[in-house]
Amino acid sequence: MHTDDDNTMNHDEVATATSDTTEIMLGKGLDIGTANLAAAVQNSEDGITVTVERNAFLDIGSDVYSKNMLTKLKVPYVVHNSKIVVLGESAFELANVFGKETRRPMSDGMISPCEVDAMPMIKLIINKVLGEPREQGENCYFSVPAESLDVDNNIVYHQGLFEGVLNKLGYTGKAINEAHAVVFSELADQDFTGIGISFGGGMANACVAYKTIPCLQFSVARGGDWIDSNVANVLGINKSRATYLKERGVDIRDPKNREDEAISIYYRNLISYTLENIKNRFETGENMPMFNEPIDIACAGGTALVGGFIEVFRDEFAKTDFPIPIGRIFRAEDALQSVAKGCLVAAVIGD
Amino acid sequence: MEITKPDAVNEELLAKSQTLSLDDLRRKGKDKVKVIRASDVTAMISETVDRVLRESSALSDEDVETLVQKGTKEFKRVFRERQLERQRAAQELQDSQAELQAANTRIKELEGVIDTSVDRCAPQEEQNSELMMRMVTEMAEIRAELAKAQEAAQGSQSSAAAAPETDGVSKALDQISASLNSRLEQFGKKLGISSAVEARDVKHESLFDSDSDGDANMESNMGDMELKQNTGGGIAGNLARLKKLKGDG
Repeated sequence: MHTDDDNTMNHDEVATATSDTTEIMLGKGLDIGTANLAAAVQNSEDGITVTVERNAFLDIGSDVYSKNMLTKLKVPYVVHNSKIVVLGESAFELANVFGKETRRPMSDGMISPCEVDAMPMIKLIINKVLGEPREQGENCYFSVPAESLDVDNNIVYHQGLFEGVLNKLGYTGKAINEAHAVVFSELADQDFTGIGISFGGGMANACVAYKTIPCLQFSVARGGDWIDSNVANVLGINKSRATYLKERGVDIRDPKNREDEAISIYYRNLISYTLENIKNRFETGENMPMFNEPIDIACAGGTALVGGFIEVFRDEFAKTDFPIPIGRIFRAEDALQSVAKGCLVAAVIGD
Repeated sequence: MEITKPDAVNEELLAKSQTLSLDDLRRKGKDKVKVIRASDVTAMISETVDRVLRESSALSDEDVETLVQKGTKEFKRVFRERQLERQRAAQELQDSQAELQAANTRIKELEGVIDTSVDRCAPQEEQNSELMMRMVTEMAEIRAELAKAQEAAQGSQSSAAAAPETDGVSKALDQISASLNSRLEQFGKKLGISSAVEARDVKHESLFDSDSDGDANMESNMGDMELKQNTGGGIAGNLARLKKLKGDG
């Protein structure tokens, strides 16, 4: 789901351009997602540059021929434990060509306890997307999921782990809830009041905020991977293939074949499940804010990129007797980059 | 002359016998087993001893009769004792199971009440706290009851006849007790009461000490790879709004 951009710029160029044009403030944002890692930094054109890499790897047998071939094809690899490990998007593409499953450093929004090589691999990908700090101890806000309603998850360990990785890379790592980052990124016009929802690979995170302050944050352990697993099960294919089918350009309002139909069914279920949980938390939660005016809902995350997402979301919302008045429901302009952008806003503004 | 007594025979039989469940036997490949009652074995031995004694000239018929009567009396006494032990063990097992079932039902009811109360009665914080405290106390009492039931189950476990069943009950009680402890801790934390002292923040940096040097030495072509980057709208507007909210703008 990347857009190739001819205007690519590496981090050194960003740093040197600072003095000539726009003031670029220190601070970087990092979205640590189950499916993708995205790093955001201000650029000299009053915009931001986001480097996105798939959070996956694939190991293949190590020989000189393979190494040369991978280098010629510009496929990034490292040799780890006598095996060639292909990282990121290339791993996903290779897995699809050879009908294999990629290995994933994270699952359900957290570092995967089942993947022994998770930490060294994710550290390499983070290093690749984030680059060197422009100054020792530069702020880097990174996304973490909220506590989950439907599974037990140890966020403290996950958060501490990535703080450690970033500190080791020369940054000052600070955590921010990923749906809160969506609020920072997408709800500036509403004075950062409203509901931010990040539909990620491993989880869906929601944050209800009032003037930047998060009043309610939670997650459900369903996301793009949940859709992929179920689609793979019903179609009898592997998960990487199901991910590929989902990302090739499906419109979930208008499924064209059996595969699209399966994807559409599980998307609807995911959206409905998330909305029901938000509604339920609103109805049962303590100290919930009372909004006199309708508030907006901003949806973001890679899983929200599918065609027809926001229309289906609105359909499902209409079926829900939501307890508070809602104004606009919209998808972030750059849904995949939204969390990283929100993290960047938090990093630049600081504490 | 040493005479084999029925109680000695019984003791020997008990000492040298072992209790196996049907599943254990099946696992050992025994689909059918021949069984004989300990009382039959004892009777056969008594009969044999009796016959040998009568045929020998060492004891008179009267002495033999006295010995047989004494032996039979002793055997009946031991048999009654064993029967009473078995009845006691069966009763203890039944009691433990009933207690377990009652505790399970109460736990389920209380958990349901607690979950509903915690979620639904948010505005009545004071009442909630009291309710929670009552429930926590009640759960603590159940835990104590369970501990007693565990002790009882362990006591009846010593009886060989009831061992496999009481073992199962004891394990189930352990599980419920552990689950109760965990729930109590959770509720305690919600109320600001906890038996545990909050730990200091865990420092995870040391986790990367060992592999940091390894990364640098890893053979890789990543340095030559170009990064795919996307550009997006700026954050100046967001920052301005934030500063305004913070009162800086």
